[in-house]
Amino acid sequence: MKKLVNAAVVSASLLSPAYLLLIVNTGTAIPVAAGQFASIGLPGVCLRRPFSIHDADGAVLSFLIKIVGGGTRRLAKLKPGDTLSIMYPLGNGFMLSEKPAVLVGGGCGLAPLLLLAKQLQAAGARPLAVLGGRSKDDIVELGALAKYAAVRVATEDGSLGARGLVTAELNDLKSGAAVYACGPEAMLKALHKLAAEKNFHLQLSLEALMACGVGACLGCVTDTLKDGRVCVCSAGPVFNAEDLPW
Amino acid sequence: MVDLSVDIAGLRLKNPVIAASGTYGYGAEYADFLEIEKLGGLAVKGTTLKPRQGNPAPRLAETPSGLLNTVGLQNKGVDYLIREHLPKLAGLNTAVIVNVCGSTPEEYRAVVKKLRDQPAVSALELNISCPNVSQGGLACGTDPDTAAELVKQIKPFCDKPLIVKLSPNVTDIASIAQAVEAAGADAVSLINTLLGMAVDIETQRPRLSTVTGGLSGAAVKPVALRMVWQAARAVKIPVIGLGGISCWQDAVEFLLAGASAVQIGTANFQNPLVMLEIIAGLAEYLQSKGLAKITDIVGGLKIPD
Repeated sequence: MKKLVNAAVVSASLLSPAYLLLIVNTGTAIPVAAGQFASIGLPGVCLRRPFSIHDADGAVLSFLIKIVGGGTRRLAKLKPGDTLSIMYPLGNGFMLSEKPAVLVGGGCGLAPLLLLAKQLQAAGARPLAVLGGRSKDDIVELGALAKYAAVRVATEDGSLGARGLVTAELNDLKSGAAVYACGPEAMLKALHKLAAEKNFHLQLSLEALMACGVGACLGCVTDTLKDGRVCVCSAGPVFNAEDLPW
Repeated sequence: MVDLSVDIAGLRLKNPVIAASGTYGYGAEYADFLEIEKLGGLAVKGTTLKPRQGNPAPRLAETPSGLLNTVGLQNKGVDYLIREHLPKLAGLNTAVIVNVCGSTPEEYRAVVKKLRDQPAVSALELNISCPNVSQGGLACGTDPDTAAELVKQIKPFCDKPLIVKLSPNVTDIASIAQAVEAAGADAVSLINTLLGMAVDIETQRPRLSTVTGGLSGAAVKPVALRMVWQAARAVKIPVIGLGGISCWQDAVEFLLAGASAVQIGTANFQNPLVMLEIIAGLAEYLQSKGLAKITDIVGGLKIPD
């Protein structure tokens, strides 16, 4: 059941110059599947914005948000007790597999992976998480993630972890693994190609500009092999890689 | 208790607030958030004879106080609507208006024929104004003669109130409204989206896949209000006003300007409950003015001499 609530801000703290951890209390505990998202009304912009749910604990939700413009800058200025209109949980989350789990996050693509790691661990898995970014400034929440997963880091400038792209970290991946990924489209496309070569099962969380967030306006479509153009918000945002014609 | 009900050419609405086509899906998408039956009506997505994939992504671009879209009439076709959606819509206890679109007069007519004798459908809204399809749509909605000819061809096959949805992308809205009235339209709704465009200056590309798209949202409200006022003065049939209505005060402006009912579109994306707030606000407005019926304010604009 989706709900529209006025949530109370618990905290809005900067993890790095560009990354915000926003924690809210929605006043109502709704089960959330990792990969589902919330649509948040931002002060001063026309459309609500979709954000992956980073963590969910009863009525407390957290969001990992990259500050990219006026709306997200205003989110960073929220004070405890401020209210935000939040519609959640939306879309379909990751399907948890019993295969060895590898989580791949590029930059803010880490957002849905914390809750995923937590849910995988609760299901008895010990996932590996590979985080990538341009530099160490793009790598946040390592401590939080390490509670649920073994973590590897790759940065393009080598300022943290291995120098290079996350895909290079997957070269020794055994076939038959289940890879869960979220991040920039170029990274997802590289993984899509790698999945076919290395024969691992890949789920991708796509990002899209959305208007309604519930499959009504048909604004956020992506092409799929079986069903043609479908809404990222309601048919996704998580897709099986083999369903995408990339 | 005030009376919010309106009668649009035989279409009875419990209140004058209708979800605009393309913004509220088939109602079910929002059913977790509100009781759809509290709405005066629900105009479902533009429906064509055959399934349409619509335009490629990106289909949306946000602009100051507005939204550009180029969905391009993606829908699964009228047969799917009849089979999958109408049975569910029939139980909703709100007026269901099917927005009908086509590329040729024959296609429009075929869709209208299929919707005959469908008890779940309260009225048809003939979309002659979609800016995002290459044929039909806008092309036939910008010329009074072409628009009238299309309405003439459709009307004999339509067994329900026929609302014609007008484009704002014209120089003289009054003459189009008069032309479709003379051709048999039972009501007009306006405005559809305004043709617009946005550019990403980093990539130097258009922000929409089709370069241009339809602008909606608060940004278009003054233009919509002006056109509703002009159309309402020009015709005797009811006018349904839409375009950027975001709160009950906006709705009152449209009603005063001559609209018998209003449609709410883009504002639903910001606040899925906005239509309920508008309905409540209209009732309070009537009470504050000591009026008993919403129809008391329709066209009540006072223009000083």
